[in-house]
Amino acid sequence: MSDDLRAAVLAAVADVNLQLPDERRLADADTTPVLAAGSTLDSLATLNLLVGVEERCAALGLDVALLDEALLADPDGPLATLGTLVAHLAAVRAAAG
Amino acid sequence: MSGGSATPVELVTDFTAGTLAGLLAHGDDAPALTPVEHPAGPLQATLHAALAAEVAPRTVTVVWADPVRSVAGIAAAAAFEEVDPDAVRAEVTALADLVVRLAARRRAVLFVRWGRDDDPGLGLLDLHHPQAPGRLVADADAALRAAFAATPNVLTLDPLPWLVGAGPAPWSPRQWFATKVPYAAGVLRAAADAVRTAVRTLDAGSRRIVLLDLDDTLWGGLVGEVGREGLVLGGHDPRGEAFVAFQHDLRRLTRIGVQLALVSRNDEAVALDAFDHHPEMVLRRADLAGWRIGWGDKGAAVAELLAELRLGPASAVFLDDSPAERGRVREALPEVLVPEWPVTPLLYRAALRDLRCFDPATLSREDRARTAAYAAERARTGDAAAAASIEDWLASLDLVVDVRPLEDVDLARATQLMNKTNQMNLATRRTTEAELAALAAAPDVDVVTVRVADRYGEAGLTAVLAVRVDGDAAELTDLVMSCRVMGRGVERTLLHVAGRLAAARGAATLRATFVPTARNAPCRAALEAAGPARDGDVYRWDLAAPPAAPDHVSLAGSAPGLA
Repeated sequence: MSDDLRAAVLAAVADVNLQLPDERRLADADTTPVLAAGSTLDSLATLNLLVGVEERCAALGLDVALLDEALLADPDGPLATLGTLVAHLAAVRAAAG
Repeated sequence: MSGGSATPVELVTDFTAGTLAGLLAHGDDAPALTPVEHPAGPLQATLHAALAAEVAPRTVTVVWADPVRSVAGIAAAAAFEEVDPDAVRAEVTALADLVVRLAARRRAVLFVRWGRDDDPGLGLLDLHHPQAPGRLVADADAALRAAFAATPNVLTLDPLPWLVGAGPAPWSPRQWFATKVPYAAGVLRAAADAVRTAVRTLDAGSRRIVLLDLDDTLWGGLVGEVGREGLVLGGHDPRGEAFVAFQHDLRRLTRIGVQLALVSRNDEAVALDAFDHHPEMVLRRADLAGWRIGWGDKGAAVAELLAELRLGPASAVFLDDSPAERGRVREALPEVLVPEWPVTPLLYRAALRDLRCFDPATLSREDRARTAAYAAERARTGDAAAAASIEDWLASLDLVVDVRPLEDVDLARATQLMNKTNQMNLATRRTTEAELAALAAAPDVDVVTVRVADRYGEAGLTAVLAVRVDGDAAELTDLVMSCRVMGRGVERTLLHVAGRLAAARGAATLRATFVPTARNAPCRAALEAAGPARDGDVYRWDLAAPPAAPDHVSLAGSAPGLA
């Protein structure tokens, strides 16, 4: 189950949305781009989102590193959308056993 | 938020200001702010950049920097190097001078007070040894505040509540290394709120008066029902103690120029008696700038009182435990701040402190004396007319009065209502559950219970009626109603229901004998408003023209004549 991970991501999204104008706020949808084409996030907002997700995952007992050069350089990778981000977190947790 | 009237807020920080700028620019609350960022850098350099910048005249500047990154001597101490405290003091003095120079070119400077981060420094010695970083930061903080004391437009913001409120990890190493912001997101949110509050205070001034309901707002219980002796106030009781603590906080507001006034549905003499004689009342009459205590519309009462005190609605806060009354005042006077209010009085003081709308930008002797000045003015000022529309408000309530024959499940509550209600009580006849059940079982009597609900919620079982019919003559023997629902047309509806109950049994007339007590004048007023013939304390309706129900009330339920 990844409901708690999805909630962690959405809580971080809510924090970031407070810093953004209405037209750039992230929608609560798996397809919402993070790094993928069409993202409304600038670099600072992207980092704020990923830090927020990392901190919330840590509170759930999941130590995950999203501020990774390879991840950040891949717009079609695990950080492409909110949906792929949640899937990535679930995979990291599964791999950690 | 945006718009031409947005206040420019310049950010002089030694960390990336973009996140804070975003929170300031896009917050939902007023006032609208337009952040002006400087590139993050050492505080001294950023202050010089600000001094050289052209900014709008209304600009408010926030200076927020960490002392370890701002003062070379403190940085050295944090690295456990030997330092000269006098040299540190000289560096701090130079920074203070820059801030004061900047303040001369700005409307105000909001300086975020210095404190230690989560570095334990020298541990037990950190606040003691003259070269310890904690001690140097504490000394620098004191020196800065002393240096700013003579510059009234340098105001200090205390970040401690932001840090405490942000949870167990207010400093975020992740955030620092990723974005060069040392704080967790919650700290920045609280900081943005504090800046907004400060600008609001500077822009429009703080709220100047608190308008207070009484029952279950300033004390527990209904004073008209239980008398001052029965109020929940003080004593060894969590709620009683919480009401006292709330009153203490209200009273301290009066010492910074915030006025207190009462807007309550009550008998004025009974309510004020509690102020004069309850041993645990913190607030006394002398603390009040004025009051409107009666049975009228609260929207109109607030308007009248503010006019009497010569205050605008934008200067007022209205506190009431009743969602319906809050809704009414919001509707009648949108500029009055009407916050949602906790259900439990244990949270009242915290809710008052959270409002953050009373912060004074200045504090004068006149502010401190304002309550006394208003007390004198009260003696001179006449009433002013209120412009609020009670009819529109009542129509918006979606008020439903549900009338049902007394059922066993309601017997205890109905008996309690009969025995505790004083103000809206026709005969003030006390009874037992067995007696009330027997009355309801009598073949010539209808005993009904009444529940009231509106768009704000359900008030529950709030009234009981008993009608006895003998041939074509009916007698309303009991009418009791909680004063929680007074003033919304429910009392008129009850008389209408009594008429329909009587008519359903074939009665042509309805009679009610009012038994006066010291407290039930509101019941007489309700009877007289329903248009009966009167002979002393006996009121009589011809059921060919029965008491009318107000248009804004919907009747429901299964009582005879209504189903």
